[in-house]
Amino acid sequence: MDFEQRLSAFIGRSIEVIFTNQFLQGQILNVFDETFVVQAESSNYIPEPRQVTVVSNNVIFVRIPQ
Amino acid sequence: MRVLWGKTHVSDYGKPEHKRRILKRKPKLGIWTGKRGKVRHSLKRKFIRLKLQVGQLNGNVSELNVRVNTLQTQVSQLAAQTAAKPQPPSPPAQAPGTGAGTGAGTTTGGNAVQHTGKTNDSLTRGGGGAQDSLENANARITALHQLVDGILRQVNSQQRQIDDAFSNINALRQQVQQYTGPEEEYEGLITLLTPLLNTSITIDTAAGPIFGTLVAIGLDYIEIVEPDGSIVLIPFDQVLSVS
Repeated sequence: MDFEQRLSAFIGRSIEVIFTNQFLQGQILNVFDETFVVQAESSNYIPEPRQVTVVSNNVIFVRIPQ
Repeated sequence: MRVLWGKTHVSDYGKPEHKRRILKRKPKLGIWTGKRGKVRHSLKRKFIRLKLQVGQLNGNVSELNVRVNTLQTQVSQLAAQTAAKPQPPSPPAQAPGTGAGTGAGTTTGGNAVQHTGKTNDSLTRGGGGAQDSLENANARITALHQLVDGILRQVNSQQRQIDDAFSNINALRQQVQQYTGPEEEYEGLITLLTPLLNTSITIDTAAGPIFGTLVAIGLDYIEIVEPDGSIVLIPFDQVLSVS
């Protein structure tokens, strides 16, 4: 099982995506081959809630809170 | 004011960047698309099926081994019982009656002779019964030996099946490697992390350390459960160090 397949098990759940210089928090909407889509909530990095397509290769790690 | 005449305007700056037609590039496909993906999928399914078969065969082998052990203990017990069978007792020595009255003595002697005769007969009858039980025990032992041999033959044949299954797995693995090329680049990291499964580790990343219990190792990621229960997925590419 690879990273995207494991991530697809958490579709619909709240997720935190950590990059080198950015932080994203929201709900996973969909997972594709090398990307996944997150409905990001507003934060210091993203002022308005919107859908963000994340490139999996650039993700440092992903946290799924309990 | 309306312009009556004038030179036709010729632009000197060219077409603006945002109006130029951008050539659409073909999307980058991964190596596992199309026919290769189907082959990979079918090979994966075969792997999984073979693994299940091997697991089942292993279970059968262990079960048969247990049966063989119990039968062997039974055989040894029976052998011990037949070896420890008591010898038939010797006929009791009865002296003819003496003292007062020879007639009485003779009769008692006669009676004694008759009695010993009867005891002899009874002993021979009893001895015959012991012999039968001994023969039955021997026959049972030989039957158990044959059963044990049969079970051992089954175990050997299943062991051969397991060996064949493993050789098939290796052949399939070589076929897959023809498509994937050399071994995966994360094999070293996987080998390092596999003994650390279900232990507490700290993974250093560019975003900081992550501490928790390593619960899973995927093809290109690891899964850690933090003390508060959160699940963290870290791609192998982002792992700086492990402690």
